Amino acid sequence: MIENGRIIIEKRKISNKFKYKVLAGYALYMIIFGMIMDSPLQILKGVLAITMKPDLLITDYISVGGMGAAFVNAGLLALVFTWIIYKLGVDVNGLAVATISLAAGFALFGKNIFNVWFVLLGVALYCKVKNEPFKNHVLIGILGTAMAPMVTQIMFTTGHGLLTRVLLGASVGVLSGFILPPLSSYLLRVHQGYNLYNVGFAAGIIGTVFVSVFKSYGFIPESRIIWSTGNNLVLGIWLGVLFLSMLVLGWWINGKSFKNYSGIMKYSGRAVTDFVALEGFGLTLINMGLLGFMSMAYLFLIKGDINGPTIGGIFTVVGFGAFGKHPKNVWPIFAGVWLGSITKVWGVNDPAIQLAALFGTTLAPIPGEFGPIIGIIAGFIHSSVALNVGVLHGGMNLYNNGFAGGIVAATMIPLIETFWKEKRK
Amino acid sequence: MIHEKQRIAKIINEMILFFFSMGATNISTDIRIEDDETVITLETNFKGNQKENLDKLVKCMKIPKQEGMEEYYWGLTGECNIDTELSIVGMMTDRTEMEIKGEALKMVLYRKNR
Repeated sequence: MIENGRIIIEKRKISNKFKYKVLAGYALYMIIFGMIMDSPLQILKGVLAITMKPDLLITDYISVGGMGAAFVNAGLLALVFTWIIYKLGVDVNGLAVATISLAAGFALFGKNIFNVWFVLLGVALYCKVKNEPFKNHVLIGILGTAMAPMVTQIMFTTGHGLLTRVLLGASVGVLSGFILPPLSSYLLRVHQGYNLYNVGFAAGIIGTVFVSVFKSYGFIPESRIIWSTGNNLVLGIWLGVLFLSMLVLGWWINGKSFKNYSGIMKYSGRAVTDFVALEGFGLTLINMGLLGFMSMAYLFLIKGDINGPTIGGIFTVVGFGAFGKHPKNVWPIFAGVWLGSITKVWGVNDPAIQLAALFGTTLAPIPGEFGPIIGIIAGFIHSSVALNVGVLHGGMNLYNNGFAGGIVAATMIPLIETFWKEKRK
Repeated sequence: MIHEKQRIAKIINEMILFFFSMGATNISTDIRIEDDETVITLETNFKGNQKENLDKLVKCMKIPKQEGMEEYYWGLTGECNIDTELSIVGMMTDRTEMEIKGEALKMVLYRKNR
């Protein structure tokens, strides 16, 4: 307690080295798993297949390139991104953990070691033009690789000559990265930080504008669902080991205890809720591990599939376990999507609905702030919006649920704030 | 850094809203822009036992300066009617001094100019 008197508040010291080792370790865990699952030749062929094809939603890399190639691609990308932010001297805060986790997850269904660089280059170019350190924008740049499918879609499917296609695809990627930093920062205010995947919201708007222009020139985006099944046992075990290791490591860092974990549940989760900075890395890892098991349990309960896209969804829940999500604000979203599937025209284990539940937890701050009932309503609405907005960006924004979540939050929050009687916390 | 002045204004906005949530009825602010840093002084009264709020305030001010986070999230400060964004204020400042006398609080926030 603060007593009467004067104090100088010292800033907490950040120690990054160990956290970087943990991030790199998990990336290596993916690569090793991939190398166990397939032969080097199969992996090489698979990685080539992954990189040389369009990546529109939903493209499960396990189907396209095989299990080995998908995991090697994901692990490599996570490792390279970790190395980049390490070299730039980025602090490993909650957003950094979430960013690397998302990169690993989405590299199982849309991001690959070829298509991500154009968007990142665009962000670097923005920094150069505005004379801003790249270090300050690199995380947003990595998150912005959600727009990577725009690059491959233009490069591999439009009917122009090779040079035109390559130049056009690269230009669109760079341009979308260039406009992302100011746009994503501005759009936060639209939903007040209640949609955690804000870059997804910005990418959805950018994607919508680009696709609208493309359509004006006769381009018609295809819709696709490439979705692998039948790997629940092996991938379930792999994920189980991963989340158990997070729990054990977190317990060890936290002085071999789970003490103070309940403190995490007290946060609404609204951006910015950086659990690494507020509660420490140990408790954050415990939270991430628990969320991992919770997400897996949901998928098993609804008889869903564990594959590239759903692991991407699980990794997103887990990653944002460092930046706002915890079991108490996540379950109402699951419940809302599940309830919706009882009354709506789709089944709870349809591919898009499995993803809507996992990625719908972008709205976790809503139940975190306003309670489970409003959270269930948010999840209920979200699944409908998520299934409807993909057509706007033609599946070229991988964070479709971030786009949908932004729309849902921007609709709900002004209304809730108008009628909410509780005081400012 | 773009929007530098707006960022300072937003920090003050956030702090004022936070003080209102502590029952403040008398708030004064002072901004001094020096060669190398901006010094923001805020004085407020508050009502009753504000232990939880004051602990939260100290916890958030201890969060290290993080320019990358600031670049992205500064716009959220001082916006929300219901929740606080004190952790961003912590990320936007280099050091903080605090003084409490009964039901009065004085805070001095230091922010290096870029």
